[in-house]
Amino acid sequence: MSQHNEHTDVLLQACLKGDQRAQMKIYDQYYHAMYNTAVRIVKDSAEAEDIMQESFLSAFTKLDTFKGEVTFGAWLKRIVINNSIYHYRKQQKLQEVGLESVLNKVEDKDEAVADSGSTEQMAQKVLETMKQLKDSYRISLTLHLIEGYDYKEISEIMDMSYGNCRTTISRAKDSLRKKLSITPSV
Amino acid sequence: MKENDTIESLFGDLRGSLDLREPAEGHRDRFRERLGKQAGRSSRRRLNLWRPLSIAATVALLLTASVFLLRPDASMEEQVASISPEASQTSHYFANLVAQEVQELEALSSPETRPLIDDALRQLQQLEADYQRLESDLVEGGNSKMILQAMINNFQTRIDLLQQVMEKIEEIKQFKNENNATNVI
Repeated sequence: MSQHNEHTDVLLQACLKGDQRAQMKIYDQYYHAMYNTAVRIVKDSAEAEDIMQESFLSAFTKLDTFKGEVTFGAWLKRIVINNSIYHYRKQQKLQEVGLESVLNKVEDKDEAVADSGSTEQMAQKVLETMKQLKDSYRISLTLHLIEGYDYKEISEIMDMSYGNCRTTISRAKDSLRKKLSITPSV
Repeated sequence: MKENDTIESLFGDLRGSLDLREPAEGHRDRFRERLGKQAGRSSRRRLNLWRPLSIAATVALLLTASVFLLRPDASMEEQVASISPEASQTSHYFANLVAQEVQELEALSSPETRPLIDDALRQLQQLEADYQRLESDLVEGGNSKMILQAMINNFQTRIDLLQQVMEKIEEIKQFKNENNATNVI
């Protein structure tokens, strides 16, 4: 693990000097996690890719401001999340209903019904179900349960009050639980 | 609460297995292209940096110039030095001498001599003001020979004044001592 970090540090040093090969290596290392983070917020896959790549570019541009207080991955992820939220808000203003989101809804039904055998199937089911939640629920749950941010951080990211954030997350959990039709384990 | 714990534990179990999606094929090439474009853009940006830099330099230059123009006494010494290096050297020498004498005078300060010293300092200030007027006359291109003579006279007067005051103070001191002595006897 520490060797892995050291390797990343060396790569980041090279990125700082504008080494494109190092930048591609960092991209390869992180694109998957960052793409998934973005797509969980904005839903649209093309937009998620655009946000993810844009975030890499801006991270490389302002890499000199990365002080290593958190890991590079966490730092980058925060950029991705901020950009995703920004795009999501823009999207909301335009009230765009992309073709893909309609298609996804059609797909969803089949996949959501699919029984949860393996972990992967369960994960699939959870993610698809989350997509059916309303936007604020989906995003706050993603940030809380998947990205692991606390209420305070989420209220900052989503620009809402702490109390409002707590309530939203609590209701979102309720809603997700109902949709997954999980009966409280005894 | 317990119900929500179910959700928490579900996500705990799924941790690490939720990144199921993959960007569309060719995303790497698309990124490489954007990376290349950005590199081009940033090098152009670096060139463009010269514009604000040169503007900043010009502003700095103008500011320095205006500081010198608005505070003529700041540059007065330099201006005098450019007209007559000897005069400037001489004035330096005299200024030091006067400062030294003033210090000595201050050291001799006592209740009896205080009014005398204060008066001398006031006169020195007057002479200093006269000297500054002479300097600006010189810079503005008056009869330089006469002005230089006047400047040297000015310093001479200051030193004479200081010496006179010193002598007076010595007299006062002696007078006091003698008085004390006679009193004792």
